[in-house]
Amino acid sequence: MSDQLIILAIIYPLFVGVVTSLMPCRERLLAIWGMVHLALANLLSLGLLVQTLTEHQVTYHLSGWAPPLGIELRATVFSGLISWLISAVALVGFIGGRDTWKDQVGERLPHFLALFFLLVAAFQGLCLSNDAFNLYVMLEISSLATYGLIAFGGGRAYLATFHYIVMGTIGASFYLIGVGYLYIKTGTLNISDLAQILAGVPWTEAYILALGFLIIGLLLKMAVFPLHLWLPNAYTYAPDATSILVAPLSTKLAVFLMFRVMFDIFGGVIDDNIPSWSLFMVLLASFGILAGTSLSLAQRDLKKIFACLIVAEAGYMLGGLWLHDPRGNVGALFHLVNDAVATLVLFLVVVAVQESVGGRNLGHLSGLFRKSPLTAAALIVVAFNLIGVPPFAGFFSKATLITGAIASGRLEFVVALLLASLGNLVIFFRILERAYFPSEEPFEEKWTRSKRGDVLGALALCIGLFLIVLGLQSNTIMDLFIRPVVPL
Amino acid sequence: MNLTAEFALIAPIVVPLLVLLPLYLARNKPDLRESISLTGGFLNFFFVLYLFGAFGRGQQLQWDILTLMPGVPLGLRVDALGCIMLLTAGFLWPIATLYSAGYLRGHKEKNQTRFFSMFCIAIAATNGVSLSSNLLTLYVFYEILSLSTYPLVTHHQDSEARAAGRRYLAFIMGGSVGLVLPAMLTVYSMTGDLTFGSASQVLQAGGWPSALLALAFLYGFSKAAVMPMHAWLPGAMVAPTPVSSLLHAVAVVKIGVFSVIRALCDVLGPQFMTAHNTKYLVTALCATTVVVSAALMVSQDNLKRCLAFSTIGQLSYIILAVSLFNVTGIAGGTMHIFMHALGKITLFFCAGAIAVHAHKKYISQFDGLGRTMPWTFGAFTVGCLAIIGLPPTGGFLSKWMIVTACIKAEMPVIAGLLLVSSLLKAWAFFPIIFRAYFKAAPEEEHPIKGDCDPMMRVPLILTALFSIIVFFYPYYILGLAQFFAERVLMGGL
Repeated sequence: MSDQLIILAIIYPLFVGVVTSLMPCRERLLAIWGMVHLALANLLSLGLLVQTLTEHQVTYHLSGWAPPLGIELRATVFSGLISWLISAVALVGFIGGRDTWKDQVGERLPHFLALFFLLVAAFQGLCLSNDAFNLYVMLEISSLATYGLIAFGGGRAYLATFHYIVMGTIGASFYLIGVGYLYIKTGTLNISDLAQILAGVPWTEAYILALGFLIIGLLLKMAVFPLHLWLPNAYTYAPDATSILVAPLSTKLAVFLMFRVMFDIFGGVIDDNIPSWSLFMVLLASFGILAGTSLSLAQRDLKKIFACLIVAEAGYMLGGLWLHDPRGNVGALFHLVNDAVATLVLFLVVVAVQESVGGRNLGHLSGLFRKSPLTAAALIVVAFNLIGVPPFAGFFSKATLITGAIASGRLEFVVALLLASLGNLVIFFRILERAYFPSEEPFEEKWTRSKRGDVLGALALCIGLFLIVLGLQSNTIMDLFIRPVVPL
Repeated sequence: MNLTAEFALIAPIVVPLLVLLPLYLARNKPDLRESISLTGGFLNFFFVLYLFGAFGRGQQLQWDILTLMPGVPLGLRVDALGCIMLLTAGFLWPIATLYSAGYLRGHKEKNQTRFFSMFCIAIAATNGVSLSSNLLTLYVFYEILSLSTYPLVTHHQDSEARAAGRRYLAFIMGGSVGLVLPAMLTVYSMTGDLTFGSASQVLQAGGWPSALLALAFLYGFSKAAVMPMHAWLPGAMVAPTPVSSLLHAVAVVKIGVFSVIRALCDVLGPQFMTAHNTKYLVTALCATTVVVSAALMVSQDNLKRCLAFSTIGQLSYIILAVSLFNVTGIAGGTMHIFMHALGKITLFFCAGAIAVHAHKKYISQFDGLGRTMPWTFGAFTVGCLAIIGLPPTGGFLSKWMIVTACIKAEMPVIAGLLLVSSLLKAWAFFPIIFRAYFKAAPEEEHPIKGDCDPMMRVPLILTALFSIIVFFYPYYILGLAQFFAERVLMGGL
């Protein structure tokens, strides 16, 4: 049984998704059905995580075909952690989005949830597969499921989905072309095999081209400025039940994929042959951070503010990956974990705010502290995390990134990170100020506590407080999960 | 290291936080709530005294709780400078709590429970900073302190408070995130160590970047209010007076100075500061702040603003003294932390008492008040003497040492500037006292009767008395200050 955990982590949500599409549209039934299966999926991933911790690496050959020919699944300690993170985020997102089903999804709920489970399966595949082409397939499945899930939003979501389809398809095609080049040159698609062959052959322009296509494709999927255009609208106009799952994970898994391309496929050869790319990438990341933060400053819709922050966060991780310093890489991967949790809290807060004050524009927020103190508390917690207040996890990922940047002499990245922290300070205190100070209108309506908002706020707050634990234990987490997979 | 020692070490941080829950539960019973706060204050002071005693016996108290970054633990330790800060905050917290109770009731403030809760968090963070054994731990508590005081500054929740809050955050967080964080991480990537005392032994000074590091710490810890990072402080005076008294005269601003001293003495170290004459730059910047703030003080009519400018000057006094890097200077500066705290909290208590009892905020309205409020103005006079630096108050001793240190460091110009600033302070304070005692009170429909409420009167008399007592018995504080100075200059942990 235990050697099957890794494949079960992928196909279990897949089968659940297929069955879900056949279920009747009964909200209560579907909610219980989904929660039970996601809880089981959590157990599976947790089992896989324990397994990776004891065995360091878990491999699985699909239908028994040996690696260079067949598809191989492989979990390291870090992908074990991410696999569990995906299941956990899916469960919390499922619970958090439940309240919005009636208004935003409606009659076609079983189909919506089928796509939801399909997306979870694709995310698991993205994190666990060790085959470059299989990863492309998973990337496409996740994108297709996401398109569908976003389009459920109706109205402006259709156009946003169309943008996303165009740009997402270009991104995926670029990735595919890159994989094609590698296949032509090496004759293999298995990542470990690729790494072995690449380390031994002379470096040619074909590899530069392959890497270029792979990286650009992934930059699109990561939504790094200036390839971010699809993201803010798609995430804003998607149903809340969608964005709560997609926003924390989608771009982060593209980052993880980039990490695997850079370190698992190309290993040390990038630094040896094309050191100048790092120069450009870190610069791009610095611009992306500043652009994302400024974009976010210009918004008035809470959900869009947070969506734009995702663009900035992608820059953090891109820069960290391309720093010539292991600390930068460790910081990027830790930020991936931290940011997935923080984004989950952010989008939970969006739902909770809508429940408690009836809208998500800045203007709606006045009196949030009275109407739903728990939501306000969750907002404070996640704000501190994004600003980088110690001892929240956000501080430690940022501190590790900055240390890496200082050690490799990339001052522009340091400056961008610091400015982003200050930008987040402005963004969040603009929100918190409105929530904290009473409204300036002459007659105030009587404030009533919102019960639903408080329940969601409590959920968000619990996960937000988990960020403190993550922060205080950051060094342990890096030692256990991240430093083993980052080459020194 | 045994369990009781660890318990005692963390108690000053945990006790104020433990008070929070009963405080919330007693939110509708003001008397019970205030007694809980007071109990917390006394308990905290008890543990502080225990730590002081243990330190005095030469016991090594240190506890690394967990690892935050490779080579940098979340570590607590008691040392001489930390002791001074712990004693200052621990001693004044219960007194200020008693005063707050009187003030908030007299003023009929709203949200008193939030006020007391945030006060507790701020004290916990202050004690955390004092106990930190490395710069990262200090930074953690420093940020908690910054954010927990925001609701206190904006307590009134009106547009004035909103503006003050924005300015407060911009300066405090801008400094700590924009300057201290990169400076700290630069030191970390150079040495791999941030522990006080040991980081400075590894760090090599290298040209002008060393001056930049020192400046980043000096301005980044903007709670120390070195000009031009002082601009938040006069604005933050919109907060209720107990906040101004304990936080913006004692805990918060002193934590700023404390952090700067830690950074300059224990992270960068005397050798680093002496190389390339970085220390002279710090001295010059602080001397400018001292003189300019004293000059600005003279022209203020709002008493609290006047006191705020006086605080700005006194904070730079302390950093200036430390930046001389001789034993007298460092000892005098660190001692001034305590001496100034006593004097300044007295003055703020008086300002609050006058505002609540006589409803007067402006100096020009104080005519004849000294005769109706004799206790308050008696204490006020003592506070003024302490701030100007005249005997028989503790302020005289520390100021004496600071001026001596300037002369020892062969900087008579600086000594002269300090004396000029004292004269300016006298020029600002004596007219207030003269006005209160010797001018006739204006004719009013409802003349003020008697002195202020005992809940406010007792604290301000107590702090005034202690200002005088420390003049005669300064030995504990002086001993701690000298111990710290010798440790910094001789090297060692």
